[in-house]
Amino acid sequence: MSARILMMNISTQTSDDPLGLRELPDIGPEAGRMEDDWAAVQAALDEQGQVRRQRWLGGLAAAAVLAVVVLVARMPGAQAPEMGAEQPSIVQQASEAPAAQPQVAEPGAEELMAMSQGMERQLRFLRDEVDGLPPGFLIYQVELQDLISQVDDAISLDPESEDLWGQRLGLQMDLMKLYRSHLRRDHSGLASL
Amino acid sequence: MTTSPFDIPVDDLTIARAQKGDREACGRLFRDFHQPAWSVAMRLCQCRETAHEVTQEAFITAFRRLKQFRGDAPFWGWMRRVVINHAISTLRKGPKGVVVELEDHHVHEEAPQERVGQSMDLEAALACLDEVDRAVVWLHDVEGYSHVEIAGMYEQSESFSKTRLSRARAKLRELVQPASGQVAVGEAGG
Repeated sequence: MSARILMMNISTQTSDDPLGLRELPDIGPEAGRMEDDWAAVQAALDEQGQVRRQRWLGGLAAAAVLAVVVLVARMPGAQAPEMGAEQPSIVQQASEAPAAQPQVAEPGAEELMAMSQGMERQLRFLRDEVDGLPPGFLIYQVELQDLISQVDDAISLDPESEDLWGQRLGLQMDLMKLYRSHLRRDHSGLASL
Repeated sequence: MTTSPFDIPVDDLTIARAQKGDREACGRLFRDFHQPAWSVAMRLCQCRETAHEVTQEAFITAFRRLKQFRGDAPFWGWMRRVVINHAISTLRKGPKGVVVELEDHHVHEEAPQERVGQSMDLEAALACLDEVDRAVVWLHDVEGYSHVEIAGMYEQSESFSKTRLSRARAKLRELVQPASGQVAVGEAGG
């Protein structure tokens, strides 16, 4: 029987496929796995939809907070920050917005840009640390990177927009949280061993 | 002429609906392409669970990026490329119990004894290859990709693909057609 199959394979071999690999029998997943895979894909798509909605709302909220911060900072009587003084991050400013005082540093486009670049370096470092994200994390990562590239597109049209740079920083923070959360999970897994 | 298992006709309406996020249309695409997607992922990764992961991730990516499909080439080619890219990316991340899963795969096959001939041995020989060699020989000989395309997938030169293909074929021949005429694959597959 082996000889017969051998003959069959040899007869169907071509220069493109000299070993007759195309003649290998079809392989398929276990029964019922297609439904399982589809359920997993649908769950991921649903989750992604929720993330998108949350991000949209989050972006809206962040933009509003940033607008308030900028407005307050530009109010007459607002003090310029002292040189060399430690300045709060944009995220700190956003989270402390209700208590924001006139002395809060004005987050100009250049400053936001510099913060974003610094954040980018930290993200690169974290990305190297993270050795492959599981699917659950991967979806968020792809989503956040997509949103960042969308903001980048908008920034390329309006490079001085403080609002856009603020949004970019917010997204970078989320990406950083994602990596850190994954690393924490990884480490706790090791600790439990 | 190479015919890929992915070569499944899809009507433009289904693609257009899926691009708008219609879940029913996405489901139709998923059902049509699940088998070839899983199959190629399994051939490349040689691990059932990894093949499922690759398949799921590939479909998630495909549905997310479906709007980027412009329709200037057949949909199946685009879909196949997404799956293969995910498989290659997964393989790059590291091994995942390849040999153990191969044995598992053979048990699941429940093939009649008669089938344990040349074709099954070729299957086992394929599993013995280095993962890059295996992917290159499969992508070239079965899926019909050119050396330029394969080189692009690995971000390497064309000669990388040619060398890998040549090495993979030589190894397969060595495993499937031993000098004594006896099948050596079972031993090599250990």
